[in-house]
Amino acid sequence: MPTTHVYRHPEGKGLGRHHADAEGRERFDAEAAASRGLTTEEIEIIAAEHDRHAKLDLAHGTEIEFDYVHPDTGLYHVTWTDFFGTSRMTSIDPEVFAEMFEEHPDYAGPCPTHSSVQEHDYHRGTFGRPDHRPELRTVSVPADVAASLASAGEVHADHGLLGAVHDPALPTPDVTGQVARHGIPVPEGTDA
Amino acid sequence: MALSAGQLMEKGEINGLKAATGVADTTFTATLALLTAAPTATDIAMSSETEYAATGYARQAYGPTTPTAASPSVASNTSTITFGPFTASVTGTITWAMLCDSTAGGTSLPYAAFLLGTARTPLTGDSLQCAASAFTLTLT
Repeated sequence: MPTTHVYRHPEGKGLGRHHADAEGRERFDAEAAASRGLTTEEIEIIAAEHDRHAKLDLAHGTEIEFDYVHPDTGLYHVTWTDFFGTSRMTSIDPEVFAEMFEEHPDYAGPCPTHSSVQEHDYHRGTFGRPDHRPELRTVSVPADVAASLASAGEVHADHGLLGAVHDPALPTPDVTGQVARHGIPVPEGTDA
Repeated sequence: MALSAGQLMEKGEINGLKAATGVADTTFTATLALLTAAPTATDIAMSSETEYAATGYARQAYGPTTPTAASPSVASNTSTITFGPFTASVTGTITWAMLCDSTAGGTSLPYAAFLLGTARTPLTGDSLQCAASAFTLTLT
């Protein structure tokens, strides 16, 4: 299974636990259960069930494969393997995905969720940030290459970024990284 | 020829329904969907079904076993099937499961429905686990 992303939670919570907490769902409390008159054996059984259930959650650090965008709901569908080794398919809200799923460092395929670099960075929350602008500048390409890509329908010239004409005073930019990763073909000889 | 869920239901066999077509002869991607309402005899596509719709839900691979050599032959889900975790819009009670032929889309064909022994109403953060061999198809 090719890994595309990794689930990262700022507090190390599972995806289900995160949403349950956000909704204010109470966690199992053995002391409270005892005060309600449950026996030790009953509490142990319930605690074991809660523990098993927690292991079914999509845990922090889980590697996933992005499958597709559901045609009706717009939810992202991903495949992953849970604690017990069971292959799972789960739908994820796109905003939650953008917030909590990082692209795997070894993944070199096209961006599965966005059709352009700008859209990708926008959803990652990095679009237009000062520390990201230099990276955006690196996608400027020589005029002949830009024309070639534009004619192939791969450049969004109206954005003024991918279609930028290369300034000959600047070194030839590296267009193999971010651009190639988003599915835009890189003509031979343009990678620095 | 594969039968629709409605046609299978009309046959009125195990658990309300059972497959009257050989699983071994099928070539589709067998997936299991969860429903919050009973299928009807006129259902010819998954768009006719009331499929569970919480965020986190997705149809899961059914992964059938090789049908037994006995008569009647029996096939079932090979492994544990787990849905979720359900993270938003977690409403509704799951009462049925449906074997269908793709992971998504209303045009998927329903093949066999299973009435759950116990209806389930998940809460936010829950996963729903089904045991291996829980969904059995009897081939006659």
